[in-house]
Amino acid sequence: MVNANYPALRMLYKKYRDDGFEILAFPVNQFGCQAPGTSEMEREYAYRKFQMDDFPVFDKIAVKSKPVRCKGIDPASYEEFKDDPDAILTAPLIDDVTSSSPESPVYAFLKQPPFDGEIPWNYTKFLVGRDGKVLRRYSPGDPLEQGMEEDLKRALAGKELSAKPKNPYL
Amino acid sequence: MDYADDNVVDSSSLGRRTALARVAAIAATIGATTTPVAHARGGVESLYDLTAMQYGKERSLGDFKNKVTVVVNVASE
Repeated sequence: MVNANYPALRMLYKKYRDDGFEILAFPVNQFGCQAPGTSEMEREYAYRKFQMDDFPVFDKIAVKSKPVRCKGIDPASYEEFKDDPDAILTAPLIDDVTSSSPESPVYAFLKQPPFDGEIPWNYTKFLVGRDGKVLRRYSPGDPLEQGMEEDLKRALAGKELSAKPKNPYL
Repeated sequence: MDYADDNVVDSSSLGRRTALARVAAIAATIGATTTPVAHARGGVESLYDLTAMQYGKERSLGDFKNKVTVVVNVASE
């Protein structure tokens, strides 16, 4: 399945980073256990998929309000398996504490009304203004189809976003 | 008769006032109990007042103050 988020966010980053735009990525192993690697592995994967490595990818966190039980690669075996593309098949797996941890303070902040509601899947996106306040939330789908570029331009210019989101995020 | 009816109306409207006052009192109590809950989120005003772990170390999101950011949760499979 093609993930529209990678090319779309990369395009926006290249186009607007000089105006003060940053992407903050957080690997999360709570949706179909789809981030079983260590933080380092997930970071490298994100760099490959986004085809750029000059944006911050933080360590794995929990974003859901209820814990999820997922397995992950034992960080202790990272050095041994870091270059193995089949690490998920061959490296020892342990209970991933990042999937069963309490929701991170970052997401507790982002998910405040009117942007609340559980994160449904990977690639949910929040646009945050220069003052650190959430401006809009987007579903895991293509951000361009949801009007993110127009929103971003307005946010960078310090203008109010259009009253209605192009797509409601839920 | 009319007088009595007026009295009935009066007492019923008084009852409404009392009820409204009770609702207000309950609302105030709820307000008082939800304030600490909001506070449990740190009373945080800005994403850039928070920190996040990167490379196993705490990083201040203050590094992104005055920028416009998109926060996205990613995965590898």
